[in-house]
Amino acid sequence: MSRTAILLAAAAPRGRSLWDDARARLLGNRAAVAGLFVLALLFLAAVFGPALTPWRFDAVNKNDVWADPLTHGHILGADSLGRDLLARTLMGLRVSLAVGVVATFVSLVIGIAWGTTAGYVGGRVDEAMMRIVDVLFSLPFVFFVILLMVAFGSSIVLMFLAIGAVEWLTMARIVRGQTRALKSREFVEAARAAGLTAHQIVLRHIVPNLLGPVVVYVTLTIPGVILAESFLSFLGLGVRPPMASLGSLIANGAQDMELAPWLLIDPALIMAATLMSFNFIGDGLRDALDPKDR
Amino acid sequence: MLGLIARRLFTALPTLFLVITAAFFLMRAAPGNPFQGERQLPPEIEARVMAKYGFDRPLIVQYGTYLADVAHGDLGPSLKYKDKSVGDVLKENFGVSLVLGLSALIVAGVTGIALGIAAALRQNRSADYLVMAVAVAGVCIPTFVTAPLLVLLFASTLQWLPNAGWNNGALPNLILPVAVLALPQIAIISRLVRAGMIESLRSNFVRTARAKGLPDCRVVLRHALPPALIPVVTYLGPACAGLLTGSLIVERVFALPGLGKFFVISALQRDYTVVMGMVIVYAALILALNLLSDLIVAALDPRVRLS
Repeated sequence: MSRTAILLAAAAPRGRSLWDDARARLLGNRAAVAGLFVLALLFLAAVFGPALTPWRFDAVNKNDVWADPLTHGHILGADSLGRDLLARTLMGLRVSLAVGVVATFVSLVIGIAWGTTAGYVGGRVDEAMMRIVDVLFSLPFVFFVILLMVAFGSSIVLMFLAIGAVEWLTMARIVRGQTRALKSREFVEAARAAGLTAHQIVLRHIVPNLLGPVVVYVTLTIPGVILAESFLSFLGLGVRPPMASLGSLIANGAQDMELAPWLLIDPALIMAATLMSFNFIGDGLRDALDPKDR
Repeated sequence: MLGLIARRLFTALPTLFLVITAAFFLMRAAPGNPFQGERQLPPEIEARVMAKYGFDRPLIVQYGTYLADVAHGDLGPSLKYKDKSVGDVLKENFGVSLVLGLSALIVAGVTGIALGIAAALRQNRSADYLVMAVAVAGVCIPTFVTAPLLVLLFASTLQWLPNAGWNNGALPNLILPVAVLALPQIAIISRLVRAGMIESLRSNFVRTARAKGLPDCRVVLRHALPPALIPVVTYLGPACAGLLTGSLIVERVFALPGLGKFFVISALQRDYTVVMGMVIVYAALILALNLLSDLIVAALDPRVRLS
């Protein structure tokens, strides 16, 4: 018996998993690879950059007001209070990326819980839960987020929750559709036959198999969240000064653009680079993981 | 068709009710009241003003009265603009937003469809890549970046167009705001049309049309295009929501006297009735457009009508 097993193992060709295939396809996509590279640089800059700049992001320097780029020791120049633009942009990038990742995580947790429940239980429950999603979908959510920020003051935690609570709807729809498809597959039936509870089946057999579409949607949600945060900051409802996010930097830069256009252009470029990288990676992942387009 | 309309209205009304309820309690949960401004009123007077507007009664009673008023079409008086009802405030400013939004929608529709067709007909050639690059940029570069950058370029530097202001809707004043609003929608619409056209150009009915010897232009416009437009029509509702959000930015950057400019200010000033009025108008608008797009899709696509 053990001999046959060894023989079989030796004879079997080493299988290529779905993920091996997907990785190969993703690395063959030039736009996605460029996006990954740029995004890695941006993340490194956001994590380590603020500690490495000679200036603090909130240090006011009276002598450096409107300093041009490359003067007074400011590589990217300084703003109306003489604060170093490079330090502020790095800090803003850190805040924007953090909001993007955390709020997306919030939406991920809600969306997966909602979607798997609706999809797995099915029937009336499914119908009621998805009807709620439909109704919420047709609400003018921006206005509620604005009201929320106005009502309870702009705190970063509230922003995480508010944006995350808005973004979970699409996630729930995707997850529900996948769950319904997975539910009738043999391995779920086998698990049920083995006596696993619904809870165990969902957590151990369905959620891991949702990973593909969820990962794709996550990479497309993060830029959406970054946009939403920046939108709020641009309206003056996001992060509070002297804290910076890319949106608040762009808002300030837009006010001073006649005097110092780089205050607008530099953060705008960083923002565009961030959003484009995420979008390229998301598109690349979708092509890599979606077997239909092969 | 009537059944569809009835069914959709049946779900739209509860949605609207939900919107009103959520906005009402959210607004009242905010600290402060409309009468706390820079000039502090003596507490006795503040209490009397509050009582005059009925704000001293239990919240649930106020909510009931408000619902009853709204059901009668009365949105109440503005609490900040003297002697104006919410209806007046909305009427004065809605026109500007409407002109902006409609122009942007038309520009985005025409440009997006044209670009999408062009890209699909030249799939994987340089024109296609160019259109798709513009589309990616349009999605990735947000309104609040394009607006100031275009002002910097066309107004401040080149001085071709005015940098802000409404000027009774004069064309030069409209160009920049409409372009900024339309850009992200052009990006999305051209992507949708391109994908739809590529699919329908490959399908059998287009092959049949070609085989009959119809001229190219007729094959593309009469046979291939209509099915490719269905996703665009479905996108009408989200597009409207996008234009509304965009108008919050655009009206601020270009100092236009539209609704969007007032929303944030009114919310900050706790002008309860004006904020509620705007939320209701916006929600009704989005619901109406969603319904309209469903009806158009049902008219265009026989498969939807049957189910």
